[in-house]
Amino acid sequence: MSSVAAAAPDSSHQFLPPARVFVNRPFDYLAIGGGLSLLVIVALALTGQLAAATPAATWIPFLVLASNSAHFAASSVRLYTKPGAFRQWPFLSMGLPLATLAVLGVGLLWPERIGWHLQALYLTWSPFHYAAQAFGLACMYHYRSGGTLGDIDRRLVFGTCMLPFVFAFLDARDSGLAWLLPAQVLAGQPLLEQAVRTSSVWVALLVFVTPLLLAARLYTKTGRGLPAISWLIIVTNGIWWIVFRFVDAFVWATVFHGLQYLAIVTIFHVKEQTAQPDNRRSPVAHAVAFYAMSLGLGYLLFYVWPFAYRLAGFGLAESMLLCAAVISIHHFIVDRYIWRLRTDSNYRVVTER
Amino acid sequence: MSVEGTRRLPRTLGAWRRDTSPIYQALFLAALLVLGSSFVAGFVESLRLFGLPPIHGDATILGRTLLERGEYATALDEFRLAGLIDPENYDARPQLDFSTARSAPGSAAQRGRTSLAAGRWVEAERALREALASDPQPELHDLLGFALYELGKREEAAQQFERARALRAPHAERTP
Repeated sequence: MSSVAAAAPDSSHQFLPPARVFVNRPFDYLAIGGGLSLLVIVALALTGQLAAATPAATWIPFLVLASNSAHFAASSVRLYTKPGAFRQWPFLSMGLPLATLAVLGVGLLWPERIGWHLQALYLTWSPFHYAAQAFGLACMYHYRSGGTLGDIDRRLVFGTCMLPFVFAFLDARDSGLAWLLPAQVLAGQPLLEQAVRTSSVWVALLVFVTPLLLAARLYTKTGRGLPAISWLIIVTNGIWWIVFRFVDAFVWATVFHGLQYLAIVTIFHVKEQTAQPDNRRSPVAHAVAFYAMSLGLGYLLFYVWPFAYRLAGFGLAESMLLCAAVISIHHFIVDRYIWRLRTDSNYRVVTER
Repeated sequence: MSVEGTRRLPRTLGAWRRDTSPIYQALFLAALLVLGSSFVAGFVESLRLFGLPPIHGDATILGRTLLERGEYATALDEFRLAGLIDPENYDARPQLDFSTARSAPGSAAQRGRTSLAAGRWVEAERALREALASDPQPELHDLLGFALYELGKREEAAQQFERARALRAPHAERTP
């Protein structure tokens, strides 16, 4: 998700200017800001339910379906329910699904030679996607709240948001650098291996230090920082990729990333649909219908579809993993287009009161 | 579907037909048909495999289900592929309970179990083959199967699991 436009600037000097929210403060800060994830993870840690073997694990698949699987499907639902999508993005709406099917077929036919590369690509791209979503949302709230960003400051915000991705790239065992530079190569280069490990520790520290430095720079240079919800989004993504991974609770990050996405995409969908001249449905009806479609499609794509490949003779392991990988990659690509602001109706949604 | 919905759908389809080429429309509808029927087939297949809707099943669970049913070669393939494609999130090895194997202190069976626990697969294979020569109990075949699996000898591992199963079968039949 990325955003590049600005609403009417506000010249007042404020370190943490108030955010103009979409729904209300509790909803925006908890669901879109990621605050709920921090509360839940603290509650789980205090009650000793963070470990995967706890009873909570039995209902985690349902949470993952309701949030993460639905969020992957939501980008497709939004693409195909957006007025004029076929004309605006012919390849994205028509060619990409067929290309995705073809790539999945190739991966399934050669899982050991090609399939695992697809999986590694998905796992490498995933932290970038999270970081890009954090950047897009942080900027969106800033612009919506009347702020502006010069080119340099925008790049600095982007760089700050990308730090968790850099950490994940260096630290991952089966993707990122480990995919491009296999373990046996690193094992023969102890200095390089040490450098990678040390770098990942420094990047982990920078994830939490850089926002403070950037906030100070923005205030001293422009007299106006990002609103608190933007910082919450940026820092929460860092916590997901570093703290959640460290305590072996990353599955919760996927749940809350999905919730964050579902919240914002539903808001955009509802605002677009209710702005149609012939609209007769209430916003709640649009929101429920959108979520129901996303949930249904998510269930079919992630949970039912792999069994069809199993029936066709492929193993369930590669069917499940590679279906998930190509659906995710499709989602990452679709997201690059449907969240553009400059030439899109998204701009009106971000800036309207 | 609401009145508004029934009006919007034909308009959306009309726009789709206007904006896309006939070749693409044919391809898209064919793909949609394949996708739709695969969803139905996939749901039925999950019921056949697990007896449950697909939300309850994943590759590791399927591997364990297959082990319990005695389909060792397929189960090992599932575990191997899941572990190969996504080692961080999926079990790369079958989790069997070998604690029931009889083994006197200092015996070959005991050495085999100790080597397995330490991950010394070659030593475990050697000791377990020695133990099986004098005491062909099914649990030792399972242990040897596990060592062979870890050494990448999946076909031999499956054979050992099958032997263990065959040895257990007569006892199971005699049990009232």
